[in-house]
Formats: sequence, structure tokens, C-alpha cells
Amino acid sequence: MKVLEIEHVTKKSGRRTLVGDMSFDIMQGDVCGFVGPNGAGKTTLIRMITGLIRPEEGRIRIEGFDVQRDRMKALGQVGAIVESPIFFPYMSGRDNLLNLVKLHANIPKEQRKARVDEVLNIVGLASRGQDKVKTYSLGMKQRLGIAQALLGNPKLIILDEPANGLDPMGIRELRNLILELNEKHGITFFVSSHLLDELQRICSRFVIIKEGRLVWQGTQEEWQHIAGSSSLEDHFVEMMTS
Amino acid sequence: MTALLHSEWERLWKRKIVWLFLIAIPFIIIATAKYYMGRNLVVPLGNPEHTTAENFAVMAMIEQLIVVFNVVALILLTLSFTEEYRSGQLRMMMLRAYSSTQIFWAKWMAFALMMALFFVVYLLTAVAAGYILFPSAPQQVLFYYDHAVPNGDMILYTLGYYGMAYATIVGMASVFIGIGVVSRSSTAAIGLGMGFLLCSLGYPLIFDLSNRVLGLGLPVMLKYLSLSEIQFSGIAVMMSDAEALKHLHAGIWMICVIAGYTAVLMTVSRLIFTKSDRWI
Repeated sequence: MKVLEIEHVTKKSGRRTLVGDMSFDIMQGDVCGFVGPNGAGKTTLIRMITGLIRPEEGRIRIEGFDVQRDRMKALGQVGAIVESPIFFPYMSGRDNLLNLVKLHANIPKEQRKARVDEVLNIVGLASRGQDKVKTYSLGMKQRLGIAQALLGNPKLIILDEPANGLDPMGIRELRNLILELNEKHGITFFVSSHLLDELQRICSRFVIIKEGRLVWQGTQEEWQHIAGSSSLEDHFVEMMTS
Repeated sequence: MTALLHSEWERLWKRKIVWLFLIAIPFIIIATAKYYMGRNLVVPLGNPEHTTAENFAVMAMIEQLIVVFNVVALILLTLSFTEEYRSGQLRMMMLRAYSSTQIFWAKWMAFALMMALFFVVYLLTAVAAGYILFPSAPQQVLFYYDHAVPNGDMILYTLGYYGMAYATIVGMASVFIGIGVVSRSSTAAIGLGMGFLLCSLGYPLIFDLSNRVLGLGLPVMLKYLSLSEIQFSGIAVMMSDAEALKHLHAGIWMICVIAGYTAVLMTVSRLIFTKSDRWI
């Protein structure tokens, strides 16, 4: 079943095409790596998927709901971190989540606190939940970002460069968390990154873009097959420079 | 929508400025009372500027509306619109299943409710301080009134005055929101907001001067195109019962001015806030 459908999506800024005629689908249960060099249009597409900006052409559907026409239903299925997670710094991590959980109609009032504590536990922040966000390290903010993305029991989680600023321990924790949420809760992930090694460890599928255009999409096995004896990293560099 | 309003309301309460202002209200009232006690030594009973237990609440609002309430409104709106939007904090809200229009109105409503609360606390504190610190008078002499009013009518006058003062704050807020949604930073929003306040204060002076010196003969009500002039003297003119002012239809004019500011600027601000791409 398709969780995310991107159909001929185009976004321009003046004369410059940021994303051009891009189309691909993400299926339920996928952990999909969204790969491309800096400035390729990854964050622009993620902003369009999450309704922050509008495409000039094309359609984006989440669980069959058009993000522009049926925003409420479409975004009700999504949890996301776009660029770095920014919270209300004058509030604690737990208070931030309590403030945001109110916006999820699918969580009854009496279950909100329990849900917040649950997601704090999932991301390993239960013991620091009462601390102000401004005292958090970048890694803790990333984990809190995932916690807020999990609040509404989403079917799809979109992570934009989630490993940015994380130390190797943090990256490992994040990787394990994504795999656990995917395996245990069946959550579909769409993860943008240029850390190809890291994505190889968690992703079943890849979407590769360059200069706003789709270059290749398929499973990891298919990519390995076309890369032949080369490593995926070498093959990726070859795709980007050809 | 209620959930969104609740969320905005809760975040306002987490801000220190809200608590600071609430705690400051009694101190502002006492400072204002001390000022009027000094004035009472030189202003005789029977002059509208003479402060009594019954009119102190109105006098305290006249004294602080332009500076304190406008500045608090400017700061709250800058934090709520500009700071949250430009720092990217608002992204967390915009990623949820709510439209930008709903977020915009929730922010406005949370602000309007908070200001209403400030007005109520200020009124109650001022009434209490008035009866503690000033002598009572059997009847009240008001600005732009042909005759003194009994104390029973003074209660209605006070409530009316606070209601109109609140309406001017809503009008002023529409300007600050407009500034807030186009400003690139909180500093710019505060600076532009203060600039607007100064222009609004300066306009009646320039109007009077040019009307007198150049003999333009412009209708006096044009002076009340300035929101701060409405706050300074307009509310009293609006609520006047003086025969000499009746032909001006001041109440209708000033309500139209406030409504005009609010309608135009809120429409433009909402369009900017909701229609543009959010590169945050």
C-alpha cells in the first residue's frame, strides 16, 4: 500500500527549478533513504510534503489524501522533523510535548500525559523531560524531535538530516530507534541524509536526486546489483558526477 | 481550533513577560496614584483632572493606556508572531493537521483574551486602590461633559471607557500583527512598532500645527485617524455628552477608524501569514 505518493512535483524559485517533475512512491513499512548532495532539493521536497510550501505543479498524497486539498487528513498521518528540530526553548521538553499533543485529535484528553511519557520513554528522554529545552544537547533535541514526530501515532515519519550534529553514539541510538519503530510499530520512514553508510544500514529503499531531479529509485538490492563490484558510495559519487 | 487556542494560551502563560506584567500591575497603579495625589494638591475638586475614589480607575487607564498597554501588546505580539515564526519554533505547529489560517486566528484570540484579562485585573486593582487612596466625592466631573454625573453613572462610564480602551488596543494590535508578520526579526518588529507609535503620537501635533499655521481648515475629526490620539483624548470625546460636540458624531467616526485599521490590517496580515511559502 502506498503511504506517500509524489506525482510530477515541481517547485521553482524565480527562474531556478528547485525540484523538477519529481515522481516516486513510498510503500507501507519502507525505510526509504532520500539521498542527494547539498542543494539537491531534499529539504525543499520535504517542506512540500509537510505542507510548509506549495508545489507549482504536481500532487503529493499521504495515505491517499492530497496535502494541498486535504491538509488536515494528510498531515494527520505524518510526524516530521524538517531541518533541525526547534522547540520553544523557555519550556521543558515534556511541556513542549504536552503543548503539541493537544493538537492531535486522535489522542483523547485523558491519555495525553501518558502518551507524552510514552514517547519520552521511547526516545530515552524520560529522565530529562522536566529540563528546559535550552539546556539540551543537539542529540537530545534530535531525540525530542523524534518524540514530537511520534506523538500522533503517525503512519509515516519524515526525518530531514536527522544525524546532523550527532556523535557516533547518538547516530547508533538513532539508527536503533528507527529500526525498532519500523519493526515493532510498522512505521514507514522517509529519511533524508548524505550519510550514505548510515542509510545503508537501515534503508530498504532509496530515492536519489540531483539538482532537483530524480536520478534513481529502487531497493537496496537493486542498487547493489547495478553498482556491481563498486561500493554504493562510489556508485553514488559516479551518479552525481556523471 | 479550541485545542490550538488552548495550546497558544498555554504558551503565553509560559512566558515571563505575562507574569511580569501581572505582578507589575499593582506597582503601576500605586505609581499612578502617587502622581494623581500630587496633582490633586494643585487641581481643585470640580476639575475633571481632580482624582477621586470613583474616577481613579478611568484616570489610571488614561495615564497608562498609551505607554504601558501598547508596549505590552507590541511585545506579546512580537513574541507570538515574529519570534515564533522567524526562529522556526512555529514549524512544530505548522507540521500538524491545522491550517495557517487557524494558527493565525488562534494566536490572535489568545492575545485578545490575555489583554482582556490584563484589563480586568488592571480595572479591579485600580478600583480597589482608588477607594483606599482617594477621598470619595458625591458626583463626578468628567472630560467633555456639560454637567457632573452621579456615582452610579460613573460605574457605567468606567466600564464603557475600559471597553473602548480595549477596542483601541485591538486596533493597535492589528498594526503590530501586520508589522510582526513582515518583520525579519523581533528587533525589527519592536523597532517598527515603536516607530508606528511615535508617528501615531506625532500625527495629531502635525495636523493641529498645519491646520492652524497653513489655515487648511480640515475637519477636526481627521485628527482622530491616529489610534494613539483616540487613546489619548478620543475615548473621552467619544463618550462625551457635551452639546457642542454632538454634531461631530465622534463615536461613530472613531469606531469606524478602529474597525478600519482592524479589518484592513488583519486581512492583509492573514493573507501574508497564510498564503506565502513558509521557508522556516
